[in-house]
Amino acid sequence: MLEAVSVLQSTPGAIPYAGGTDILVRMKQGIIAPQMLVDLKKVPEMQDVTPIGDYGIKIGAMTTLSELVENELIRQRSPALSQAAATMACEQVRNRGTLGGNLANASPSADTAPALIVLDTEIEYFSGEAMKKIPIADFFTGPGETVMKPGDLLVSITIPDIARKAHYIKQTLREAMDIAAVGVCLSMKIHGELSSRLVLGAVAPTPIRVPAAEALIDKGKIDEAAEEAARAAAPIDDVRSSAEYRRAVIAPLVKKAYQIVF
Amino acid sequence: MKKLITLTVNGEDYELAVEPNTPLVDVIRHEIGLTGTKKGCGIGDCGACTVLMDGVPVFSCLVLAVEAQGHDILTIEGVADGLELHPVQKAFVEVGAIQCGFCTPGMVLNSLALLKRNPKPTEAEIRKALSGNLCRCTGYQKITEAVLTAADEMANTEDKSGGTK
Ligand SMILES: Cc1cc2nc3c(=O)[nH]c(=O)nc-3n(C[C@H](O)[C@H](O)[C@H](O)COP(=O)(O)OP(=O)(O)OC[C@H]3O[C@@H](n4cnc5c(N)ncnc54)[C@H](O)[C@@H]3O)c2cc1C
Ligand code: FES
Ligand code: FES
Repeated sequence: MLEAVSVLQSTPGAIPYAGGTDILVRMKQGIIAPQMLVDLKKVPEMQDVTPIGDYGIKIGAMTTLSELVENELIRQRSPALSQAAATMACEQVRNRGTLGGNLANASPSADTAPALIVLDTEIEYFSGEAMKKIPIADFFTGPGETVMKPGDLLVSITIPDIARKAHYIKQTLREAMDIAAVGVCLSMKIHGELSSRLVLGAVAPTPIRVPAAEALIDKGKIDEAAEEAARAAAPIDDVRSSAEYRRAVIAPLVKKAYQIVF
Repeated sequence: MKKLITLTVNGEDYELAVEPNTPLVDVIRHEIGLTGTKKGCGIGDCGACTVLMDGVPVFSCLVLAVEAQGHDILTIEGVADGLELHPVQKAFVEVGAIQCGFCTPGMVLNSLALLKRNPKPTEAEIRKALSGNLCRCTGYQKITEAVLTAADEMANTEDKSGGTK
C-alpha cells in the first residue's frame, strides 16, 4: 500500500484505480483525464473480509460488489449491504466494481452508503503518513467529495460488533440497471433499546441521516417520522426524476422500511 | 507510451503493444481482429462487449487491456467446438432469439456464465442475470426461452458427453 501511496503522492495527475467502472466511463465521456492510474487490485491491506466479535465485520476496500452479494460472512453479518449491492448495476459491472470505489466516488445515490451508515460503520483510510478512522457519516462532504485528499487511500470499512437489523429500499424508475431515484435505509438494534438509524440517499448532496425522524421511530411514531424524513430531504430535479416525485415517495418508503425491519 | 503485454484469448496467447488506457474491447477487435465482440456504447450501458474473464462476465469496454493480462479471456469465437455450436448457441438459433444479432455474442457469453453458476435458472433469474445486456430487436422473451432450452439440453447431454466447455 505504501508503494501505491508514494506513487500517488509523487505523480501529478495520478489517481487510484479500483474496478474502473466509474473512472473509465468518466474518461470516455471526457469528464476526467488522469495522467496515471494506480491499480489497487493487488494491495494486500484492501482485500480481506474478516469477522469481528459476534456481529461485526471488516471489509477491504477492493471487495467487489459481486462479493458483497455472495460472500457468506457479509450476507450473515450485514445482509442490508448484500441486499443493497444486489440492486446495483448488472452482473458485469458488479464483477468489476468495488466497495471502495463506490464510497470514494461519493455519488449522492451510491447504493452501499446508506446501508453502511445505518450500521454505524467506520472508514479506515490512509492519509498523508498515517491511517485514520472516522464514522462513515462524516466521510461524505458533497457530491463526488469526501474527507480524503488527493493521494489518500480508502483501505477498509468496519461494521461494529452490535446486532442490528436493517433494510434498504431503492426506488428506481426502471426495473434493472438504474441508479436510485431515492434510497431509504433503516436499522434498529436487536437487543435493548431500538436506537434506530434512518438514512436517505439521492435526495441531498450526500446521503443524509435524519435524527429527528429516528427519535420519532424510537417512540413508535412512524407516521410522524415518515413526514419528518420527507421534510429533511433536499432533493433536486434531474434526468431520473423530479424533486417533487422524490419528496413524495420518501414518506411511504420510510413506512415500508419500518414494516420490514420492525 | 505503449506497453508490451500478453493476452490469452480463447486459449491462444497474443503478444501486443498497447497504450495503457486502451479498453480491452478495442484490442480484441482491432489488434487481435476478433470482431465477434461488439462495441455499442463504450460506457457500460449496453452489454454488447461482454466477454468472460476467468469464466466471469465483464464489459470489455470497462476493462483495460493491460488489466486483462494473466487472465483467461473467452470471446464468442471461442465458444463453439470447431464447427459444432455450443448448446446455448444452438438454442439461440433454434428458438429464434436472434434478429439483427448485435447483442447476441454478449447474450450468449453471459448466458453461458449463468448456466455454469446456476444450471437450472428460473425465468426471473435469467432476466436478472441478463439485465446488463440490451436487445433492441427481440423483446427478450425469445432470449429467455433460448436460455431455458439450453439449460434443458445441457442437463440431458451432461452424462453422455461429460459436458461441453
Ligand atoms: C452501467 C453502470 C451501472 C451502475 N450502476 C450503479 C448503481 O446502481 N449504484 C451505484 O451506486 N453505482 C452504480 N454504478 C457506478 C459504479 O459501478 C460503482 O460506483 C462502483 O462501485 C465503483 O467502483 P470501482 O471499483 O469501479 O471504482 P473506480 O472507477 O475504480 O473508482 C471510482 C473513484 O474512486 C476512487 N477510488 C477507488 N478506490 C479507491 C480507494 N480504495 N481509495 C481511494 N480512492 C479510490 C477512484 O480514484 C475514482 O475516483 C454503475 C456504473 C455503471 C457503468
Ligand atoms: S460497449 Fe461495453 S457495455 Fe456497451
Ligand atoms: S437481436 Fe438485435 S439487438 Fe438483440
